[in-house]
Amino acid sequence: MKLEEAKKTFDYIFSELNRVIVGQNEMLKQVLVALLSDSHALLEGYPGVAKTLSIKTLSSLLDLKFSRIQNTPDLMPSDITGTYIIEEATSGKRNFKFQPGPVFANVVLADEINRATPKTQSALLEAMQEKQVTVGNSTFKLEEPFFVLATQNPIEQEGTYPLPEAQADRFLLKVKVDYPTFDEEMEIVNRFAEEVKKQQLKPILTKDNLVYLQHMARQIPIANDIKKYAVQLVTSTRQKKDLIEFGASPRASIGLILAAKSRALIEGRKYVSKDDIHKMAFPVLRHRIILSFEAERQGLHHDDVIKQLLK
Amino acid sequence: MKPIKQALEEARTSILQLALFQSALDTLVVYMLLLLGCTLLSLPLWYAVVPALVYSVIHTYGNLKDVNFASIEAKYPQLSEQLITVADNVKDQNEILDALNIEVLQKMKEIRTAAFLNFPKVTRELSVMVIVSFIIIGASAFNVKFLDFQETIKDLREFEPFKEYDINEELLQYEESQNLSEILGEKTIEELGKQQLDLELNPLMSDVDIGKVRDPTARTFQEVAPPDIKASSDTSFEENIPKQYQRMVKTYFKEITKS
Repeated sequence: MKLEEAKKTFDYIFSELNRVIVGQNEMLKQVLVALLSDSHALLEGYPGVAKTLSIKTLSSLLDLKFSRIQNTPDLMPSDITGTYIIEEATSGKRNFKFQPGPVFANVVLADEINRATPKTQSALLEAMQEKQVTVGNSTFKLEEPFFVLATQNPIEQEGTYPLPEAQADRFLLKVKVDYPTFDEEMEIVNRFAEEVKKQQLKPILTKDNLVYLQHMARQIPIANDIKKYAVQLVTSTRQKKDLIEFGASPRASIGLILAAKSRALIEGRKYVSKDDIHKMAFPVLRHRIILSFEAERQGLHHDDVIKQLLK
Repeated sequence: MKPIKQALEEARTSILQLALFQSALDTLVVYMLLLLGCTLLSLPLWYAVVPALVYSVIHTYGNLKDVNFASIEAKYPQLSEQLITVADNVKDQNEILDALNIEVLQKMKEIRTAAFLNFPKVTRELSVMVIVSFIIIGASAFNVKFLDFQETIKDLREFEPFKEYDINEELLQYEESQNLSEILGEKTIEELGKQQLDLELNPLMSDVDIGKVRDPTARTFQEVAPPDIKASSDTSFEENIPKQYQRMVKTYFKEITKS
């Protein structure tokens, strides 16, 4: 597959996604960036802004095994990872057999991840990091590619377990899902408030194609000046002590470069531009910095501080 | 050598040559202006060379520092971020990079060296040089001088008030005007200089107690006196006291031994 073909494929994916999802193009692009970077994304937005629908639609366009975990406070780690069950053979002999959980898929939608207990969250996050699951004395390797696309909403924080920064760091991107514009909302109403015609989506990307595109994304060249700019941006989060209490780790530098490369590939460019770094700085950094008291006193949000760093 | 590498080197060399040409032109303008100054002030012409050389070194260094692929990208926005990417990854090779190299190579064909030459500036500088040249020739031909700088310096050196001016004298006068006795001590003592000091000692006011003077101790001397010692009579021992005073002197010495 050449770069031009890759661009056509992405354009086709977006056109198919737009048959179901109205607007949210930047969010969809960022989710695809996470997939091409072989990493995970956390989608945060108010209820009803098509977080779950976007991921479900995207997964239907990928010829990959998809599973969904609806996180609740009573969800146990074994509900995610799987457990041993007793299986009775025809001879009457009983054996323990491993029953894989929903984490054994290529694309895992972890809906409302902040509703799960820290213990369950840890089980999922360990699978994300190690790409393997240990149950009892046995370790099971997860199938490649493996993505976790988690969602959470920023309201109704009672009874939730917000992800600690160290665990949120496992997600390459924290994608903000905003409300649609007026025109988009009108289109949503027109499309879904009338007789619902279920869109039949066909898989576009096979597993091999996706792996190849991931490989292609890493091959996108980047100029030294732009690379330096990205690293300087990440290190500046550790130096701006007046607004940021704890800055981003070197993992953010790697993530920013990878995300910028993937974005360039999606846009059909053969090089990384400064604009890619600018655009990807927000989803890469926003969950990796802890604002200082002074920043909070000034009423600044993560994105406001990142904007200041980009100036 | 890869075609892209060759193209990059060629582009770099062209820009470098243009930068050197621009520096040389700027330096020439500065030199001409300095030369005009030297002519009008009757200074030796080599006075213009040194500052022009210093300017040339600094200016050329500054110009060469700006020679990079980013400057080409600034002139050709269609190459923006691509040229530096290709230049930084010239040693690497992969499918995408090869495609980018071909694309950049194609776009580089549009680069015109003339685009990097600032024609209005060059025209301005050449005009200035022509005008200044004519002024220099005219000034030399008609012996126009605003100021004979060397003569002025000579005059200044020979200026009489300067010679008479003595800083030490000025300082001395200043010191005299100040009350410095507390720091430097009594002025009357300090000012003796080479003058003769006449001291008169009064034996009666002496603290020496003659009564406590002991008898001289006996000492033995060498029997044979050294040859350079000569004895002779001294007139000071001759009694040359007038007769009417002899008695008074005798009484004086008697009385003095009693005390």
